Amino acid sequence: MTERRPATEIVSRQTQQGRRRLALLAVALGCLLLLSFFLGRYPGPWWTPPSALVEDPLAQRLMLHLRLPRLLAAVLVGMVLAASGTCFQMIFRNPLVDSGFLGVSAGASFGASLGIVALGGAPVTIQLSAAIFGILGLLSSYLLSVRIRYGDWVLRLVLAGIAVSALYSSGTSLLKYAADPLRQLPEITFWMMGGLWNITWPHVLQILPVVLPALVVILLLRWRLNLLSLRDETAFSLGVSAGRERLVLLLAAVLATAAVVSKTGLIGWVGLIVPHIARRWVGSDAQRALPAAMLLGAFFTLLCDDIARTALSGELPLGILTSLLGAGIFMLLMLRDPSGMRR
Amino acid sequence: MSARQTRHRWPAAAAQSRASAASAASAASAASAPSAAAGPSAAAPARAASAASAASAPSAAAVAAVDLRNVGFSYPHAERPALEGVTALIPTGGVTAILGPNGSGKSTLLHLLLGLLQAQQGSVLVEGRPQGSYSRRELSQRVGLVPQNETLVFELSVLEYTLLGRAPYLDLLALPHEEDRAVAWEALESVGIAGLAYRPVTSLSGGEKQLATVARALAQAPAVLLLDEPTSHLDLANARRVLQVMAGLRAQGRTILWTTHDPNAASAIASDILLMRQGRVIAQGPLAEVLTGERLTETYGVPVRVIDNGGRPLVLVHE
Repeated sequence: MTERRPATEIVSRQTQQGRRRLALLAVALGCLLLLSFFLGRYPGPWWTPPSALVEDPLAQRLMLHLRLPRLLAAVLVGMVLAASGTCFQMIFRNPLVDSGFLGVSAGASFGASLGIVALGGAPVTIQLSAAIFGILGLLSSYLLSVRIRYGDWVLRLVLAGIAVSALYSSGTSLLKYAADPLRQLPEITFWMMGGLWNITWPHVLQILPVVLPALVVILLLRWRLNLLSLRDETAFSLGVSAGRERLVLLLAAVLATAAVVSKTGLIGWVGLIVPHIARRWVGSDAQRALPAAMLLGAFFTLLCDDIARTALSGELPLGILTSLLGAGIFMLLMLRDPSGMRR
Repeated sequence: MSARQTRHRWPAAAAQSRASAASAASAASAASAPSAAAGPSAAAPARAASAASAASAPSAAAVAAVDLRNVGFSYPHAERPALEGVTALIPTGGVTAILGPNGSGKSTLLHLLLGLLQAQQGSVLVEGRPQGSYSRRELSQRVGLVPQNETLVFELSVLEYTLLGRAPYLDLLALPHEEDRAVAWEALESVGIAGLAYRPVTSLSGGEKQLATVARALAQAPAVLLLDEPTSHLDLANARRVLQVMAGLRAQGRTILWTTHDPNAASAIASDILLMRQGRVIAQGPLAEVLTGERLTETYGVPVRVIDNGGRPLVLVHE
């Protein structure tokens, strides 16, 4: 057997490049955050000068009480969607799934619509109902998958997720049909487009107790995601309690997603596209790919929200922007790389 | 117990005298029995000794890697048991090939050793201790698996993939340490693909992919390495390369148990043969004694002739 290499030499290349790029992403996110703080449509159309923070009390209030929580919310939303997207993709061994799977998003939409149409439409009701039905979406997908007698665990869960999503979507359609076209229907439509225009400090503080622990759990278990992306037999032979670890990670991902979605509405494509770009950038090992996806998700969402709130004098729905950009990037990636998406 | 303490590696394959290795192994296994809490670290010297001894003394160690005693297993709703009265000794440091037709219980046996299935009758001893007395994690430090066709969905590099083999030694929240990288690197070198370390596994040829899987399992530093038909889906050149690597591992003194459909592949590198048919053991023992025309005919139910091919049996099927 040959001499053992010095460990530093083995660490080299991939890991060091990955670390550099992670640091780069973090710096880029910090810069964008700072820039975004001064970006807006007051007093001029694009830019709030830093001096206004001292001189203009209205600008001061706007920046600290409206803009800052909104920026933080954008960062949180991006991180949560990208992190849970990475979790779903690796746990289901399928690079083309995100929270749209498992009936999470469909369940949350149904819950929100139900809140608007049948439960009085108070914001708290809408949010709670969305969160509950998002979790119910996962739960019913899971329970259904346990009972399906076809395929392996992963396939069963995906099939169950598709069925449950379809069920909730038809329920949402029914609610839209029954909704008051003048009062309720616009609200449902607006919620389903997603956006951060009404985010204030209380909103951010309400989701933090759920979102932060969930993100920490996912981050701490990130190397295990690699193990969970192996076949069951192999994971078992490595001593991994795959079922239990999957459940913990899924629960963290879904709870965080439901909490975020209940405040912002549906923001599509971040969870699907961002993990792919992150893997291209730092490699597929979740030890680096997950933090990279979180930083990139935050960057992407923040950028989209900046556009959403400054491009026009009115507000563009964020969900439409992320979908537009996300789907565009998705097509670009597929066209540029004939072998398909980076897995 | 911290992850650092439980970490250990393959010993360098220094040839050790039969007597000292055997006594070290038995002494260490006696010590490990009462100290369940310190399990893996106490068993480490035993493994080190037995693995190193094997190159010079196959099937001579005091404790067999795996000891099956009258093992029976039936799948629910099956007409006949998948395994019935299976008694076999997998010698430490030997390369044991399980031969048998489809449905003879080869895969069931591997799954049983892995802990995926539980024996319904009889007992399974791993390194002299009942399999059930190991925790999941302890068992995965002793039994490594190279599955038949490992499919990776994500483009991990060969080194990243090999590092996954360190999972049995890492706490739930731990990340691979530098020492894990060193062990993974050793595993890559021992199968001769260290040069591919930074290539994505998904870009490798079938044979190289199989070798990466072997390296991943070796990084577990298992007492016994299970390979489920490692050459069945490979072309001739790739199959030859995998067999050569397995022969190299044998020379390094590692304990290997593998299933195959090819008696000649078994003949090429195995030291011991386990013949199975319909869940029963037809014969078990050293290659030359077991790989005979008569026994293979009994096993496969077709006329088989075995001729001598430069010291190794060559198996031919009669027309």
